[in-house]
Amino acid sequence: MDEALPVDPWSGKFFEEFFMGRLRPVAFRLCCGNETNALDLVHDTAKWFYDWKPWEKGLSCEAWFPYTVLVMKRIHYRRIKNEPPANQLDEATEEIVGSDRASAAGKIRYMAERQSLGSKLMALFEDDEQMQEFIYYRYFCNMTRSEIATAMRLEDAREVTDLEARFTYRATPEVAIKLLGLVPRRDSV
Amino acid sequence: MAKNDESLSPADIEKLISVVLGPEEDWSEAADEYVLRLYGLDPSNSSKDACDLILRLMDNAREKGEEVPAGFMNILWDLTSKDDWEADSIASARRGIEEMQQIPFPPHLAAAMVTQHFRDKGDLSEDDEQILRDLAAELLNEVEGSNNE
Repeated sequence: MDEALPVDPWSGKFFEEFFMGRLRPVAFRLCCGNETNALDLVHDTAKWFYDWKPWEKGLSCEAWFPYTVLVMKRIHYRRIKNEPPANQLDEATEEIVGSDRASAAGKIRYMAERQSLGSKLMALFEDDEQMQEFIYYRYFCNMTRSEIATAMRLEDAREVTDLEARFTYRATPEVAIKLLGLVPRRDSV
Repeated sequence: MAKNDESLSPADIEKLISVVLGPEEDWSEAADEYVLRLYGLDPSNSSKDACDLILRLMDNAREKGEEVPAGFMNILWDLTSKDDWEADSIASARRGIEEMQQIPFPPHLAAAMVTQHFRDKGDLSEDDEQILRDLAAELLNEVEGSNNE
């Protein structure tokens, strides 16, 4: 292992946290909750990760997750489109193949929904100026976590994670379902 | 808790995640947990899946005739003996190695794994030293045996 690395990619701790804790939820979301497909996707992504070895390419540890997610999406969309796996996934991760978010109409609708949700969520944190600021940057300005950290003059993106944890504690899926006007199906039994 | 097949349609779950959490590449650990709970999964229960995943990576590499990275053994070792390593006992570590030996991997990989894990371990008791000597002898015998086959 490179002495300069703050984490050991060949340790069980890293493996479990990174692939199960961080990438598995992304795979579940991409595979619409299908566990078998999601674990297949995590497997293919892990294979790419250990073949490509981002730590040997000068990528900082903080960049591993976003970069690997882009690769995971590319693997996923290639599979959906029945395209053969590409050998050079690392060279073309900017483009998300076939993403339905890519269309202009989709982007506008997405932003409108985000802003609508953001304004409703602010009401949940009426007496919390810091959280309102977070929601504003997140849902109205569409900033990334590191951009929010800069805008809020926080020391690093970890503090934004803490804000997000406070946020998701209050804005639970049940709350978000109501605010978005989604209608849960009734149980059949 | 909203569950995939009990309350929301898959499309609604996708919309919920997308609108609430934004692009996946910017998700935090809090977002990861949110997604797993939304799909009805326990975020703390991932060790077995991690073991299955590393074993699958190793199996696939062997099936394709590719070299299995020694680091995979390291990961598997950590995952299968997490509790034992927290106890930091050589005897319990040995039990882990014996369990690992049940998996049909080339002996030289097991030997590399032992070297990796016992490097920099200080203050070994006499019992620990003896266990290590026995273990080294066993592994060397196995390597010799496999070379003669």
